[in-house]
Amino acid sequence: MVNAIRIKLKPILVMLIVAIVLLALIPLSGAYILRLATLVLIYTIVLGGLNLLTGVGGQVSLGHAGLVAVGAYTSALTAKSTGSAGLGIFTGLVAATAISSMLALSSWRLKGLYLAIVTLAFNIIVVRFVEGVDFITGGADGIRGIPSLAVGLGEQWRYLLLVGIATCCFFLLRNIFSSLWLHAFRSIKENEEVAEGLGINVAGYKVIMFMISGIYAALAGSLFAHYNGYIAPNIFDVDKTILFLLGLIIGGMGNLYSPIIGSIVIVLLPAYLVSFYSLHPLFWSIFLIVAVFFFPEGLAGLVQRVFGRGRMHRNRPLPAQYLRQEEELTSQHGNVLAGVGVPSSSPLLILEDICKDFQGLRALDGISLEVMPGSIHALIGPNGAGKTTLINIVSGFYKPDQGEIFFAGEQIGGLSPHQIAARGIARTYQQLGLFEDMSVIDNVLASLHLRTHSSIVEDMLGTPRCRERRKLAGDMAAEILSFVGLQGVATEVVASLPHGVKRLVGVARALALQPKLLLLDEPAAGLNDDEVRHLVDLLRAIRDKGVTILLVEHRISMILEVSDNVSVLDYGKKIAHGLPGEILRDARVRKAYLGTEA
Amino acid sequence: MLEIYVLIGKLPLVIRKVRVMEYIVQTLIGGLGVGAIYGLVGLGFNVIFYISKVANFAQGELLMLGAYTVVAIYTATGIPFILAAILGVLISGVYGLGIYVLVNNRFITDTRTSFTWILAIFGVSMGTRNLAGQIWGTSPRPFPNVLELGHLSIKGLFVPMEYVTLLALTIAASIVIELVFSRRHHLGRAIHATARNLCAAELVGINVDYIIRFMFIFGAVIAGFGGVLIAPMLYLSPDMGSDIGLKAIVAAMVGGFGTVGLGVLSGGLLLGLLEAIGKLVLPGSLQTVITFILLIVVLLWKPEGILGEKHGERY
Repeated sequence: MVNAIRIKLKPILVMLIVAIVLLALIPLSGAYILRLATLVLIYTIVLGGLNLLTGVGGQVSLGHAGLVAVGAYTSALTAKSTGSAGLGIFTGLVAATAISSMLALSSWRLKGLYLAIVTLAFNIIVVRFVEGVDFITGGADGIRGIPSLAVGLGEQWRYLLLVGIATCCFFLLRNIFSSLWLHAFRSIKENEEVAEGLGINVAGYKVIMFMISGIYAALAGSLFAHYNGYIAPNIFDVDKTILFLLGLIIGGMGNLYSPIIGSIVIVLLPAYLVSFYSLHPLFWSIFLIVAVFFFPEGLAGLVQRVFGRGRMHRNRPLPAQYLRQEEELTSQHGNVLAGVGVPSSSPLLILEDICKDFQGLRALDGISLEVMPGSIHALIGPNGAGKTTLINIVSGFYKPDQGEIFFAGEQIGGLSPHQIAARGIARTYQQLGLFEDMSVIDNVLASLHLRTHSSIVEDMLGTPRCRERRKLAGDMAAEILSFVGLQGVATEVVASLPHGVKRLVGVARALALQPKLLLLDEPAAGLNDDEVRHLVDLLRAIRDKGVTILLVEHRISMILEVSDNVSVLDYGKKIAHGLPGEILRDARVRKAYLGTEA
Repeated sequence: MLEIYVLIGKLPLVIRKVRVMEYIVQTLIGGLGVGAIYGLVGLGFNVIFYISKVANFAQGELLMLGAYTVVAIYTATGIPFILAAILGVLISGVYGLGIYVLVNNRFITDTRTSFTWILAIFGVSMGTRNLAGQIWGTSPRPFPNVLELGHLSIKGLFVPMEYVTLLALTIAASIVIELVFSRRHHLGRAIHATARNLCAAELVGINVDYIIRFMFIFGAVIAGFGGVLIAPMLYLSPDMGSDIGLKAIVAAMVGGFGTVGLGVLSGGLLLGLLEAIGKLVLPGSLQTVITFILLIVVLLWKPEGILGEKHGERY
């Protein structure tokens, strides 16, 4: 309880201090300090957007200064011709939204370094274009005399207005950070394909991230134009983007408060430390290298490391909302998994004559398969028989070259993985595919995103309905974890867990999708006997909840114990099908496994 | 912004005499010359990228340092220019070693997941430019014109010998690079093995640290050599490399990231030619815009490079 209060109080306290400092600046300080504070606030807005895109979503943008420039120039030009700064800012935002969603399109095809290069090129294009069309933009000399925001008001009031805007921007982001969107974005950073398999529309979400951060950048750019009264292309060159990223590194990538810490450091440090303007780049480059070398996890991380407070985070008890008793949960929301399966006599999943070629190698050759609802259907076969390929085809990661797939009566052959996941097919991965840098409960919450999220606008505004849903998601996550037996490690980072536990996390994450069909790809690989026994019990419990399971496994003993039906694959063909006991006596199966018909 | 006005700087004298046709031809030849440098520096970029998957955005700064070093040695010691050039280019290798030390640090070696190394490299390039400005001054200064090469006159067309030498030396350099990467000798095989699979290469007894270090030095030496070749056409300034470095990356991309071969050189020549054509019709700044739009279009269309072949996964 005390913990919960402390967690609730801390941000409020921080806010209070920040507010007092910001307001105290007005009477206490002269124009210079106020100007620096203005800059800090503007930087906070840019860095906030960049933090969402790069820090949380993992999309490296080396072109953010370009987006800022788009906002600044559009706004300044509109304002100069119409005389209204407000209209300018609005057009700036519209322009940046359009352009950032175009950048997002390039992120569909390119990742990592390639995306970084495209955004870098974008930044150069913007700066050079502005320089080049000097008859519109004034070229390298820039634009002077940009109309100021709220002309009638005094300096202090304009500053207060900026404080208000920056605070709004911060709270909108904070709401994203405390919503399920955070987990979806982080899962995209961790592993795009797996995120797709959890029903997250990766391409669409990238557009959302790019658009939000583009709007933030453009807002900051246009505010800068109106407060500064003067803009020139060299203000927005690539070095500025690097400075933004440095700010994020200082504050700690992906940390909600990092934009605030970062912009304070990158604005104030040079203002007070280095008096020669010409030496600033050298100073920044040294700072950048030192930061990358010695505190890549940011100042907060550095403090934690130095004072040994890193442990606190790891052993933090579950937030109070996760600690309710199980009975209480069931009574409140009913069982998360109950009633998912549809009792029916027709097959849940039907594969008809599926073929898949890999550059001439026929991995699947005319597979037909029916999985009955409420059963555990095992798929066995020697290595290279095509089992994992089949799982990948059902979950939509591969497109079959031939054949049809019906799920609950619907043809799902051409759908993308996230659409298939949304229809109720969840899977685990042979190579785990967990979000290793996220905690166990965050992994589950990323998967719950599909069923429980609100629209991004609603979540940014933090409507009561969203908060209700968030709470519901928290409860559901806790229930799933205790169902699988992971309640003790909910807040542990996945990377720190032993292999056996990780396998269970994979199952829990798949269950959080509330699937009708669960595809398990060698869930017992690398488990010891005790863990296998627990898994067998768990699989039965899952089936008893009405979830159908398609199980790929090598351990024959486990297959015999748990499965209702068995299909055997060999060289991409289905060679046998039946009850587990019969299958083992089948001559063809013996030949495939043992090489003899004996 | 320092644009690469290859011929323009020297042209006013000439342009009064020659016809428009000649002006066009000379601009194109100038474009080829600069393009060759893009290709060469791009090859240096790919040499480093191939072995380490580190994109050395500071390649242009290495070029700038190479040029300055040669001039510094030449003016300080008074030794023959050719000797000073060779010495300076070799010294450029040291800067490459510096980047290796920085990027292969244990905090930032994982080039696949973390991008902090990109920031470190940008930090280096920003700092290098600033430092060079502090040491040698920010105002552009001429490269000592020691080799009076004169001009070549073909059928009334007036071709500065500098470009002919530049093209010849670039082609010679890329042949040397091809030779180093040849699979016929142990070093070449060791390089390819290290690039493919670091652990496996180490297991079969290749000193991978040595190979990687060598490649960083090699990439920097190539950039330095490019610097000495291009400097006579430009003025020396701390910013002289920034544009060339980025366009070298475009050339490397056209040839295919991480492929070391004549594709990159032809990519550079192509880019140089395109720029020269752009120069005839567009103002300076916009022509750079065209170059980088080309980069984006090609990256989206064929990430493995127009002339490159598909290899490995893109990430």
